[in-house]
Amino acid sequence: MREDYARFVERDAEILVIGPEGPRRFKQVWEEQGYPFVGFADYRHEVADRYGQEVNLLKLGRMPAMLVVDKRGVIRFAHFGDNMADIPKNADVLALLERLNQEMIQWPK
Amino acid sequence: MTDSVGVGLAAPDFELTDVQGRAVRLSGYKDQKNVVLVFTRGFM
Repeated sequence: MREDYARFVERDAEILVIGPEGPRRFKQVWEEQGYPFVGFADYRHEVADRYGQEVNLLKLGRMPAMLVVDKRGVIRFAHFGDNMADIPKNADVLALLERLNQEMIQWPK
Repeated sequence: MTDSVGVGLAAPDFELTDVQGRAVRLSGYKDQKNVVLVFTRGFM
């Protein structure tokens, strides 16, 4: 997503990344990688559990998940991966964001 | 997914401290930005 970050910003989107690590480890990796997103160490897994991120013990951990929330605060897309690589394509998410922005113009409230 | 999380439903609000030490609420983006929420598997 990093390569396409500017395209997300152009579409009025912020990317919030929530990881299961402790704050120190999370911050260390975050700074090493120089991620442009907003990052959170959800080490108590409160938000991940509330959103239902899957934990697969056979696959040794948490499965990736992605949700898109529109400007009204409504979930418009939810994808809960069943393996590590099961992540939506950026192009699909960018296209959805364009549709959401178009809706806001057509139906502002 | 839980019963309270799904397409068409209001996103449950939360507040977390980001890597910069700022308290960030999901609802703070309302009327401002779309939000892509990414839950990672964790750094390997």
